[in-house]
Amino acid sequence: MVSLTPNPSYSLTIRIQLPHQAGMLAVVTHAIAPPEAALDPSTW
Amino acid sequence: MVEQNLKTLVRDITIDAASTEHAEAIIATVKALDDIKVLNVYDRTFNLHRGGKISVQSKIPLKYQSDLAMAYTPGVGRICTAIAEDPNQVYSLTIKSNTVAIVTDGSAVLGLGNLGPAGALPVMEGKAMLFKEFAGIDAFPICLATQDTEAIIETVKNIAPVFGGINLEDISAPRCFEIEARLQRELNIPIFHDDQHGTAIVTLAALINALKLVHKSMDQVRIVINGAGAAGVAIARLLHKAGATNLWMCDSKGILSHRRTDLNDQKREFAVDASGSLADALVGADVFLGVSVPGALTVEMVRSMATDPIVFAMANPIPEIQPELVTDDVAVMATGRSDYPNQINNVLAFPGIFRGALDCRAATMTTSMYLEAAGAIASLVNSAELNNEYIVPSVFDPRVATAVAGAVQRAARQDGVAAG
Repeated sequence: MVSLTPNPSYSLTIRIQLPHQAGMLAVVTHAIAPPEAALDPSTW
Repeated sequence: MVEQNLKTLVRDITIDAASTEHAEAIIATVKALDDIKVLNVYDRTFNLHRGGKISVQSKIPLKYQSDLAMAYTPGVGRICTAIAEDPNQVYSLTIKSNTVAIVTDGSAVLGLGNLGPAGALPVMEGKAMLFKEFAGIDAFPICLATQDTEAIIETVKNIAPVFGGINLEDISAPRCFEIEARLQRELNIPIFHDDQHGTAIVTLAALINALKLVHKSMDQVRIVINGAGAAGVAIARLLHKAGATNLWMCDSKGILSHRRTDLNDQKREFAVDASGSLADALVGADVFLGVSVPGALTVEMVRSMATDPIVFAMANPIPEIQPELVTDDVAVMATGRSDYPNQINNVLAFPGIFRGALDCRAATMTTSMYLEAAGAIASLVNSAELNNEYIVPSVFDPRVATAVAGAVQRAARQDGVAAG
């Protein structure tokens, strides 16, 4: 059985504080990418 | 973006994970980042359920003494007397005509098992939401602290005066068959076990359209149903009424065969001469209908089926086979999941079923009502739109409940069970 696709049943919101510098959000999204999560762009 | 200053930003990032473990891995990954501070983590599904999902709202304002005097005492006494003198008026003077009880004993909650009445409540609340949103019906969760068949029947009979219909939910087989049949015999309001009939109706609707795509007919195909619980038995019964003649059912021990001595009455109804495993049953079969467990179906089994196989892997939330594994091997694939095409979802049926039954004050549910409902759902996908990723309408298609309700009312009148 292949693992399930990310879905809203297991949706979480993480509130983060990050330095006000260009590229910091990308650091976060890049870090999350390997676990193949689906980010909801409407909430960024 | 939540806030910002010259030095820092606070952002909320919403992420869909694949499992609890996956969510925890994501959180750990973010927490491990240099310069990033995790301020809080919210589980959006848990947050959505806090405080419950439904409430009761008044239809009329209570602002003046006169409002109170009419809505409650003493004026309400006149209404009570009128109903006592003519019980039929309960339909026009109370909530009864638009109210459904969602009754469970918590013995078979989703695919999770016997979670008991409190554990079942979130599902029943959700069901009430669906009734309201899709059909304007006021439904209320009734989770019973008993799993005794007689006690359930007695309790439902005792609360029935309030309700225009009873939706039985998540009650384990085989008790669910007797509870439904007895209540339907002993009450004069429609009783509907959604796990049985809702699933069967939508499965039939989807199969009608899938068969059109592969140019096969219901009376010629060999259908294998895996799972002989409430849904499997109801699907088999409804497909039989719809013209299917070659149905094999399997449970965890294989084909329901005349040779087996461990079959209950419902399973014996579908026993066939053949025997063997699910894999044996599927060789040369045209249709697989799964209402069983994750992983029950293998790629090899699918490849052993007849040409243009139809596979409905409806175990929820994890289907009998991951659809991606057999993309090139099946003609039509459907699941119970919203993130794949062709979602076989009961919400296509039960809101319209009850809307129709309540509106014509059906005294009972009939097989014709189910068959007509399935036909109505199938007909919403026209021949120009029909393709292997669109065999049933979307659950958000606003035409569905109205079409189903209309079909159900027509069938109820033809069957002579409609009063209004």
